[in-house]
Amino acid sequence: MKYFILTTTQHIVEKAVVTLTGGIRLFSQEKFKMKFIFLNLIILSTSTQAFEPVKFFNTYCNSCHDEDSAKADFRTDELIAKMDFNGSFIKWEHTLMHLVDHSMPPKKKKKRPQHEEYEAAITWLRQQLIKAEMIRAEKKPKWMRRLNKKEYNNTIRDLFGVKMDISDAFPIDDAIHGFDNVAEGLMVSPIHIENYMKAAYRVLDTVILPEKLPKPGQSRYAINWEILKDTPNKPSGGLRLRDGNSFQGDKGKPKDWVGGPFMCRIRPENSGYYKFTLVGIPRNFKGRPLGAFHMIQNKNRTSFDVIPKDDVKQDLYSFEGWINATGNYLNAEINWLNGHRKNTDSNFRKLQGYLKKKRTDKSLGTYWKELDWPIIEEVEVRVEGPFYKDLPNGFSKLFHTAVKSKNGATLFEEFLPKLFRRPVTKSEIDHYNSLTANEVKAGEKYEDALKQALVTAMVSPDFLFIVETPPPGTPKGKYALNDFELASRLSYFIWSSMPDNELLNLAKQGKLSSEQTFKKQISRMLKDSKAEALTTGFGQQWIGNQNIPNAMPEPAVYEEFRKTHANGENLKAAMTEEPREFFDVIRKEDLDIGNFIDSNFVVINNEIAQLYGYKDFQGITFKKVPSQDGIRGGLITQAGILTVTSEATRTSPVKRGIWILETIFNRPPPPPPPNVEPLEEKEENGLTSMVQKLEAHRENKACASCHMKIDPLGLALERFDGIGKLREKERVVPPSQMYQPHWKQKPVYFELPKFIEFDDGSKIKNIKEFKQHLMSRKDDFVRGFTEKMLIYALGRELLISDQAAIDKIVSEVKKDKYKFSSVVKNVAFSNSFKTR
Amino acid sequence: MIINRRHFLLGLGAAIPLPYLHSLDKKGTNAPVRLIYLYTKSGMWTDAFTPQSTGKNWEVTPILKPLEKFRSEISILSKLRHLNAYKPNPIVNRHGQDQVCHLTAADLGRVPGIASKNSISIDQMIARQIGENTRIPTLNLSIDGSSIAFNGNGDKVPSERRPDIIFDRMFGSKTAQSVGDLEKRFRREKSVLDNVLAQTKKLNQKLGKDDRDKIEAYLTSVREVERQLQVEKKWAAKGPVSAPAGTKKPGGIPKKRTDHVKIMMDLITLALQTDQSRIVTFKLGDMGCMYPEIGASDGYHGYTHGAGGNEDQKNKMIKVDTHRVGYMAYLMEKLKSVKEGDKDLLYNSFIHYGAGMGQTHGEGAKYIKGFDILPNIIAGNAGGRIKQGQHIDFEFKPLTNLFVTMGQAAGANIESFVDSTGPISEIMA
Repeated sequence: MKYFILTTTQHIVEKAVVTLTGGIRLFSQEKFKMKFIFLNLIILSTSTQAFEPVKFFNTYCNSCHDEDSAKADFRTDELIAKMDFNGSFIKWEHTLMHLVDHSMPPKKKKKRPQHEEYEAAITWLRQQLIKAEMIRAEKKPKWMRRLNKKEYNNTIRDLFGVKMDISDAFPIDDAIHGFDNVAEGLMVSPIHIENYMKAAYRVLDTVILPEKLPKPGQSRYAINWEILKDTPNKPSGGLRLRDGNSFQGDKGKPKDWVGGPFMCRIRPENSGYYKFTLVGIPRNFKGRPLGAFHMIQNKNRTSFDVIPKDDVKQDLYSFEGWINATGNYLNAEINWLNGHRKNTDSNFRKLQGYLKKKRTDKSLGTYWKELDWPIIEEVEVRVEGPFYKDLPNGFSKLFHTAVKSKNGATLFEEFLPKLFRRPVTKSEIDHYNSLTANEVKAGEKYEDALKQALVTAMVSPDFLFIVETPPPGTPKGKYALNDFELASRLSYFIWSSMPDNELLNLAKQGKLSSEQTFKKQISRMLKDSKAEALTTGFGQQWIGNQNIPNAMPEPAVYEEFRKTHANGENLKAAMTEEPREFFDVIRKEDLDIGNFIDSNFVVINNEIAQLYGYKDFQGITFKKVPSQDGIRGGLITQAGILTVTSEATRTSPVKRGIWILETIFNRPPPPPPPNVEPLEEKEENGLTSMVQKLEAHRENKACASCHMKIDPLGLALERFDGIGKLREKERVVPPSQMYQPHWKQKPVYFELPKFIEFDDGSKIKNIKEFKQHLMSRKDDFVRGFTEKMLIYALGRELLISDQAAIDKIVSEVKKDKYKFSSVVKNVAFSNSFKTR
Repeated sequence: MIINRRHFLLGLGAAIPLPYLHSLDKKGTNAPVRLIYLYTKSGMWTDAFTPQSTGKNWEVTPILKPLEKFRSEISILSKLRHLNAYKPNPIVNRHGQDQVCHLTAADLGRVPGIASKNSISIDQMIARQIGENTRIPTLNLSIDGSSIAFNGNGDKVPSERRPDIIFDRMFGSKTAQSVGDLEKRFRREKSVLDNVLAQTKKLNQKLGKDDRDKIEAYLTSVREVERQLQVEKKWAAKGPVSAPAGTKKPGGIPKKRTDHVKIMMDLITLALQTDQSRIVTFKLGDMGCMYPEIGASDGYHGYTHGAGGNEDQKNKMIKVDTHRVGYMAYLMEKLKSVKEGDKDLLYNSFIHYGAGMGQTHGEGAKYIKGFDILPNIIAGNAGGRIKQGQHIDFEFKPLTNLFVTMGQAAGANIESFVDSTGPISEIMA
């Protein structure tokens, strides 16, 4: 293994910092430029003029941030008097953020620093903070990290070729600094060790196939839905099927009437891949799609549409998945979503009427004609399997050969380097061989002894941790990763999984770190389907759409969330999907990341289309279509995001503003001061509009300075109500009438703001202009996006010493026309990524 | 409210004899003491909680209403506090500190400028001594997957929120295996762990100090599993445990928060009744909890911010606080229905209901009184060791004193814990 330490750099940095902070003595730029990129931020913008911090702060900051006014409860006079960068690190960091953004002093102020003065102040402050950071960072441990749940699952999938979601039972990983792959959050408790051990046994039991494989068979299961509609079908073994056409009534009220699963319950004798095909005669589809999703054992929910030809018996849909033979019944399930079965009030009432007339709780499936619902008759499910694909040629074969020859050496030589993601020494192989031998001595059969050795390897930190080996005592960021370490870092970044053979082979040849190869490999990896992990791992956590299901819009205010609309569950599921699907389109098509702010397309399904008022859209699956109104497009106009940043009964411009600052620009405002008056409705004072409420809020000086930044961003989105639907007026229902019947409520209507003025003095009149306004800050967005992706790629919080890397990535991305792949590439190319 | 009956464990309580406590004499005088730590996140509106008068004749305040019928079986311990945990410090975000320090009392700002690690929580501390007496040393539960328990490394002890998985941990396949199979499994697992320990030492030599620390934490966990394996082996020899007759395995997580909490309370009762564990921690409320069923459908967190200046918010906060205290009443009722000799499970338990903070939200250095006025309810007689029925004002003594008292009542030899000054004599029988 090769590594080299950049000790000299470390020395120079310290010297540079010490010298620069002591007085103003300059280093020649030439001397360091080439070798030490990350010195850029120290050297680039040093002006020739001496910078006087006390004078700068007295002139520009202290007039608002002193004892008398102390705006935002923030006192720069104290900061500058004490100059305690270590103790007041966060406050200084906050100050730096404002200087970098040129957002303080506020743009409305007349007395503002010249560009050069800003730069000098930024340079000075960064130097101080680097120094403080170095002291601080040295004290902070630089932990290596273990695989998180998702990475564990994917790694097992790629090691053995079976997607078995084994880590689902592991404890949930904490997300720190926004991501669940950050070392600080990934602890190892006894419960983890227990789980790792259990999982290792289970994985081996699954992937070691019998030498003589069972032949795939085919079985067909049919039911007559008329007979089965309310009697649970309980054949003694094999497969059970529930008819998807039976809608249940519940004492005169339609219940669960939009869904209805086709559920096969299968108890297979052998584990393996099984294929399920739904067969039937569609009626009344009339060319319209019916949305549905399938799951196996309540996992991996996948949506799809069927648009079958009416009145012909046919294969409607098929899917396959790995089924573990456990001796228990396992579910394979297809659930109809509403698709064309519209959840309209009128349909609901019609159905209620039929129920009353019949005085029955029985199946409602008989009313499909009246309700113009599509239905499938003579349902059958065909189950084929088990299949094994190339599994028998891989690990399983190695294992059987080893058992036959009673010699595990070849197995260990082949398998351990993959498991540990690095070359394995002879002594390690001997170790595992002797371990096997000891197990045999302890009375195990050779087969079980070998399994024991493999389980040991799978519970060892060599597998569970992403091991990087800087020689003891190496300071942070001064160790260049070796090729194998680089391969792992890269593949866990892009694939959330282990490096494949190609990467490991290149590492073995020592070629991976060469620039050309590295570049080529990144391109190859991005094209691989495994790169979807960037969407599910990075994208979802960055956007925060895992929070969307927690939003609970009040049904009394939003019709879409009433019982007549299945409590909005399908809509909420679609809202949660939309940002993910949108991100995935940008990733797959390698588009300009500016599309996250504004795009001329949307990625929607029928639920979302209905909410947006988009015509002619059918189907539950998400499709990329042009934005019909020019209003929707980008992340911030998406229903899920507008909903999760609202309260239950109203919008929350504050939450929306914070979301934009946090997610789009990665510049979250500081937390609010204690005991702030909330924005709630006080009925006795008369109802007020959102604008009025916020204005009142800003009268409080402690709130104003931050809310000047937050509120306009949120108010600009007031065209959208609390679930992201367009509106012309703000509708406020008095709290006391909230739970009265709809028709008894007397809501008050307020005008929406005619224009919004931002803290820099610019004005916008509508959503389009708002997006243009945000687009004018595209480079700030790119910086925020880069920072977030770098945290994800490194699995640690960013340090001030990463700033140079970020600057460089941002400028490269700009040159590459802001392509998504360019961010990924340049993050991987950065010094921060390649060192530890 | 319509309760889906399937969600609840049927057959709990009275009808069940005591096959589980073999050592128990007829009168039940030597029953083990069970400790339960209930935790409600984001504080409580203490103005509507703390009774005015102290002593035996304290008045029932709005939040204490659900516990009215247990008046003589609970005590209110006012002004006990965590001095360390609420020291202002610039690094640790005060949000969340109430939760992580609740049972640890750690000073997270103890090294200036650095967010220090947490330290061991009281439940784990007690479990070190008496945990081996049961199959599950501590049962750490929550409604959201976060935890109030921390191990010796200061790392979070994961909590479980899924009722079905908790049920399986108590009565699942692991305990149903034959002794022969178990012996085999124990030998195998021990061998794996031994080898991992030996091998990891080699890896350790290659690593820097911080990575070694991480590996050390890993090794601690491996050793812990080994130890647990020994304990489990001891337990396995005694044969498998089956759930009381008539008990049904619960399904997944109920949709309604209240249903979820109730089923967790059922599981706690089941665990204590079958002596699967004697130490339980349960986080029963979260910041964002919404309770539309009691007319508090915005998040609780909002109320805690707003209650200071807005009547409506305050009332809603009190409503939720009362609702949550109601959960404790539900648990007490369940425990009471389980007879142990002459007494009942409640009599043999020691429950603490607490929040990590009081009624005021504080951020950063600007410090507000009220933040550290913690609400504390205790219940149960710890098998006759503790008396109940009083309201005592401690005028800012450490809350850890109560933790020490609880540990001692359960038979653990704990003299002090973090900043404690000694057990609380006022509540001792």
